[in-house]
Amino acid sequence: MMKIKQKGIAGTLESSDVLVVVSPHNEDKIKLILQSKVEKQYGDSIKKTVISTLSKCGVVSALVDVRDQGALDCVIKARVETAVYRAADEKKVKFGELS
Amino acid sequence: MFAPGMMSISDGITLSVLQDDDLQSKLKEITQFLTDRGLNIDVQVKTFILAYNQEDNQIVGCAGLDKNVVKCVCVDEQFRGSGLSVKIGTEVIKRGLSEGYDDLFLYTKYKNLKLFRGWGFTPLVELPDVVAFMNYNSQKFRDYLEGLQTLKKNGSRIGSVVMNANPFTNGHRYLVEQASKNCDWVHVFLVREDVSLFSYKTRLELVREGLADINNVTVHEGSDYIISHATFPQYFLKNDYDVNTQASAIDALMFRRYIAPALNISVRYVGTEPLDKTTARYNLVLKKFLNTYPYNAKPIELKELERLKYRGVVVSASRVRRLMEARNYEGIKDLVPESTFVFIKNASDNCQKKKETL
Repeated sequence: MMKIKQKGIAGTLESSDVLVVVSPHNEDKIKLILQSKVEKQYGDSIKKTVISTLSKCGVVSALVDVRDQGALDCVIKARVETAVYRAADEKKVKFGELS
Repeated sequence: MFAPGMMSISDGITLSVLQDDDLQSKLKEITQFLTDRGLNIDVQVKTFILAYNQEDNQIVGCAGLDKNVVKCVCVDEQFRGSGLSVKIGTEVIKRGLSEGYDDLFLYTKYKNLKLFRGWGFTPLVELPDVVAFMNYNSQKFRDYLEGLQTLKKNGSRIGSVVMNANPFTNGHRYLVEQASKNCDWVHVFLVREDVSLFSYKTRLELVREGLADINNVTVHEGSDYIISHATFPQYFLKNDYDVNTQASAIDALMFRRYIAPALNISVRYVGTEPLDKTTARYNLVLKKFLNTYPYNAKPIELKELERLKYRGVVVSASRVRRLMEARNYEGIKDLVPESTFVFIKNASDNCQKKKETL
């Protein structure tokens, strides 16, 4: 289990990227807010990617704000992972092990 | 090699984050960049994101951060449409969020609204063709309004009073009392900003104690969304007597469009003061934008009550603070409720004691 201790931010607002902010949440669940310019077409798929990445990281309680500018799945995964590591203040990052 | 806080981005542009001394040393350059493009620098801005052209080391874009408010955003004409604005936007948003703010705000000329939508900001209220007030975290605002809705009371006439109460006086008490007699319920909002002589915590305590015996009143804690540093920057710049009408309008429209409907508020009470031109003007603007201005929200009645006087002089918090300065505690006794008086007396006694031991 990975505990979210502080705000973790990763990504950008640039086209084909995504800005992810992971913050502590006062409930034991994930609250996901998604804004995407392709929300109609890919909203559900993006949410699925975010939720599964969080669960692979072992995050059970977090506020997750995702501002998507049409990022590919692998980009979304990478940004969420990085934001989680920063939010958990985890220095021993094993990127790639999750996928 | 880059100095700390610097990052190279594509197209020969360098971004850097400046604060404190680093910012001071570049202030002249930034001011020039802004004034050349018809904008003013804001001295409240404590962090600047600067974009430099690596070729000639000239500023080509900037954005400032004053607490949770984004200001002084400008991109050189040559670089507009190049994606530079979004890069600057990303940096200023990350900076604001990592400084601990959950929501960020900005004012923009109406015609630039689209640019900031691209940064993820949403317009909250606007004066068409003039100015728009936007925020970054819509969810945070929704949560706040939902929280308010749980405190909604039934009735046909629901009143409201917004106060700073620095400190709470018989004048504040009189205003709420009158409102409570004429309304089914009264919602009192305390300005949250901690820039007054009395701390927010103390002001809140004294308001709660001073109103405890009136049973149709709710005292609400202030928020970013009601007379705050964000919605109403000029309110806190007391040396600026030329109260900015636009900021007052935005604040009034925020109240009318969001706060009032959440609690079913139909009337807002304010005190009049014929001698104080600033207050008079503020009330006039308030009246216009709460009530007569055509807007996509129900009009709110503005009820002006003549302010309570003691020995012919208006009872005000500033009068109390002047008496405190003169250490005239007996004079204060007649102007404030018991709870406020006890607090001031204790605070001053503690001060005296400290001095004696020194």
